[in-house]
Amino acid sequence: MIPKEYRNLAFFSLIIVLILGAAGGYFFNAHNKDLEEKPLGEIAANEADPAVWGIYYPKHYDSYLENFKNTAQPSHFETKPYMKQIYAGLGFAEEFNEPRGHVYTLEDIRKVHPTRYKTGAACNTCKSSQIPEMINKYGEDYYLKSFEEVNSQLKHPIACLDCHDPKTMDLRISRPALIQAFERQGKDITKATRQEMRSLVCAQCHVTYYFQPNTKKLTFPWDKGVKADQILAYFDEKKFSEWNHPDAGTGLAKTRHAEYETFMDSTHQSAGLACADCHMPYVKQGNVKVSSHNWQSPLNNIEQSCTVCHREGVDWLKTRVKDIQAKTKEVQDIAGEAVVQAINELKVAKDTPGVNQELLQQAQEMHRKGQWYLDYVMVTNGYGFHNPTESINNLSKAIDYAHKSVQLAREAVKKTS
Amino acid sequence: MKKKLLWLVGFAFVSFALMLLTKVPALGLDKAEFCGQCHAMDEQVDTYLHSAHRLGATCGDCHIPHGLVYGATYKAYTGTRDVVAVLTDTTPQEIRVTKLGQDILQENCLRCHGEFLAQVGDTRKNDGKYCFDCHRSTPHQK
Repeated sequence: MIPKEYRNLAFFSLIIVLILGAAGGYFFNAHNKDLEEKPLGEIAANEADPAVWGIYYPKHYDSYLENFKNTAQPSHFETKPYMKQIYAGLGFAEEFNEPRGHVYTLEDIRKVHPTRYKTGAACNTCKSSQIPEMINKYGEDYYLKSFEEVNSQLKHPIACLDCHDPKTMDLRISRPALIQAFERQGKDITKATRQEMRSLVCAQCHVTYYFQPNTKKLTFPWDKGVKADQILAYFDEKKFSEWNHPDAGTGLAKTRHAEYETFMDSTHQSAGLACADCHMPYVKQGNVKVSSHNWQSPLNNIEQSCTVCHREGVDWLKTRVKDIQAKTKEVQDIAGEAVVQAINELKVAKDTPGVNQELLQQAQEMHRKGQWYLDYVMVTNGYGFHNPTESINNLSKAIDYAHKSVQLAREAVKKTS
Repeated sequence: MKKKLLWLVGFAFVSFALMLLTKVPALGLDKAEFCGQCHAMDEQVDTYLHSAHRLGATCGDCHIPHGLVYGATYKAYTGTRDVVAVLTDTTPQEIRVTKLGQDILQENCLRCHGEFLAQVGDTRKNDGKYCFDCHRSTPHQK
């Protein structure tokens, strides 16, 4: 028993110890919260409507809605007048505008020049969240349907379901072409790490592709690799030409926005970055951070996309990027003019009676290569910034092949029999 | 013999208790001024003292595991390792955090900023990036 005179002291000591203990426990807890990660709500397996996802993920949805502000649609012909001659014989020569944001995919494709619908249903593949459902419904027949038959069933543009699993919110690949391209390369896409997935979900659409003859199946020409020379080698081996140039008579392959392919092995990619690191930076929204779903040029929000790593300041960074882009554009214009010159010389040679056919054929072969390397850079967004050295490298090849084509075409005329 | 063993156990116990003491915040053994004395990291200390983190976090808050026993043990280990490096003049030109140190840092980022990152999640998961892969000048240069 505690002596009486110490009883009060003991009592207060006990209270103080208890209070200190409770306070200590509280602060320890408050500073040591385990990160809670769980889906915020149950979303139906095929829910293509982004507004439904927005109920559970309002902050992400808000940033998604920002895409509506991306409305500029300048024509490529304004800055690249040589495109018209280069694409002669294709729908692209009639009209080729910069697209608006992801939320306008359906609206924009419905307004495009009608000559570009002739491929059929496959053109819808990257325009709506409902496509995986359509491919499930029709199987391989999907690609053989008419553009209109599939398009009339589509309501929602590119949205959440294209990249997210509605149950777990994990990133997922919804387009078969990418999964199959990996399979043909002997790679398993389900083994991709989170960081790889943050590029691969973009690679479902921001890649070059072609439609297989007869089946019209949408295919990524990556069997030999994703680089310009490897893809061209793939097409050469298959003797594949998408169209014959009406003036030059050359059988040509067409590149599409090869952003993923170009980005691979670039400085930023080899340093471990993914598309999302620059195009979907983490932004503060109130008391949390979310990955922005407003897909745009990182130059529009350098503070979030670049300065987190690069501390040199917004102005300096912008100058560096603009410098790379301007210099790439300058070389691209030279390459564009060179290819146009090749086309003109080939036209003269082709129309010359008794022209040396062997040399003409060689000239056309050089034209095919030159135009391919030019196109690979020209239609890839970013004016070379996704991989500056590679872009300049490809453009240099384009110029060289175009010049060789011009030379061979002239020789072919000289050696007229 | 038995007495010697008792002394030894006693000594080990006191050493262990002393080691645990290094984690008591009031002693300030997590502060840059103290750590910077042996860990030859002047550049890091100087830039840290100009960063926002100086107001809310010490060296140990980020670089030492939070648990009492694990934290104290890790601290004793790195402290000894770096003292030896200083004494033998083998400190590397370029100081790099070890693999274990990286994981400790990541955990400590989330310990404070976890609520803020509730929707983003642990970016390191499934071979992802560490926070400091991008935030590489926070809270000190290099």
